[in-house]
Amino acid sequence: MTVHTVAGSVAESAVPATGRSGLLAGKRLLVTGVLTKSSIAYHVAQIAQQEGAQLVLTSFGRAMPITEATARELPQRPPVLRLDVTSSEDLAGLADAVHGELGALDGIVHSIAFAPQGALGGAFLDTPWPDVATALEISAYSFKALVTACLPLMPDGASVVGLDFDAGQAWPSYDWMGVSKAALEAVTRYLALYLGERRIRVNLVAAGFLRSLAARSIPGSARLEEIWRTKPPIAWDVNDPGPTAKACAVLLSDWLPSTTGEILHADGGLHAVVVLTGARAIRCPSCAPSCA
Amino acid sequence: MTNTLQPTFEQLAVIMEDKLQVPRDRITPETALKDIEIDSLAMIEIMLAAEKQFDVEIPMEDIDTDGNVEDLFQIVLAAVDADRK
Repeated sequence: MTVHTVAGSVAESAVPATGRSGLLAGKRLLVTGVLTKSSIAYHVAQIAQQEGAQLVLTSFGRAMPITEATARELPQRPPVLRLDVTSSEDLAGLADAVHGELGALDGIVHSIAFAPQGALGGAFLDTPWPDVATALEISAYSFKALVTACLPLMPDGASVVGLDFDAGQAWPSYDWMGVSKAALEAVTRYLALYLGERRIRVNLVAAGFLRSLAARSIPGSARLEEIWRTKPPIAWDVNDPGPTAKACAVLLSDWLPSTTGEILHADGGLHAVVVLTGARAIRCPSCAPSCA
Repeated sequence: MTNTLQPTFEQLAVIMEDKLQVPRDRITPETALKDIEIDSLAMIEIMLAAEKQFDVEIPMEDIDTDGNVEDLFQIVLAAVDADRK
């Protein structure tokens, strides 16, 4: 059987744990956004299990059977709960459903985003409000909705992590999804503010471009992919969600107990630099002969 | 898993007809995927059905909603060829 792995992925680097050891030993986590094995959330779920966590996944509608099939590929098959984050009924029933599976929640992974085609691909100036509203509700407001729905199950010191794409600048074609990610970043800061009293940490991982099917469905995504293939100071593998998943795992762990409202970039450093054509070839003065 | 039968375009077209509820005569090698309104979820549904039918794992990172039906068929063939090696 062909097994499709990506270089450096969590599948190759982590030792399976059983819940008694590992970075996330004993943690009970809810992970949204697992669709296929190329989903970032799948790799987060995989490394979380390998590091000792117990999981529930969520999905709904046409995606539900796909998520259930993909869940069977994980080291331990987790239950998949129905959750449409725009459904007040689903949100109201979530805590009970999770309680029935895990009892409580030590962490949440929000990996949910959607924008109608008219809100992407260069139509920014003409996108109608209903399309913008959809993008904002599903991609940003849902973070608050998901967290508050789960709050009754979360002990003090729990951790919430969302998946972000650097909204500090405007990306070609990303358009209203970029605006939605900016809103997600603001939602994160406010959640950190209001949940700090309970020491619940709320953070984002801003990943570099990854070649998931959803990402490549964005019109003009080839330009984003090209930027990440050529510009980051540390080479970025657009086929490897491993570094992003590891960043999520660290934020879900107990190792960053005073970090909240933060955006952790797992992007090869691209957010921090201005790179002109060929700039990766710039050499540091101290080691110019050997450093390329 | 190792396959002995080569998938045919017709088999893929039948899967697409079933998943998309699009008339079979609209699915030709040249048909642009966008013209039959394939979104990313529909694409995954089609590929999972193809994986089951052809007993092969298709790398989702190779799939794109740009392009045409022939491009999709070639991805299926490549997956089957890779599985045989």
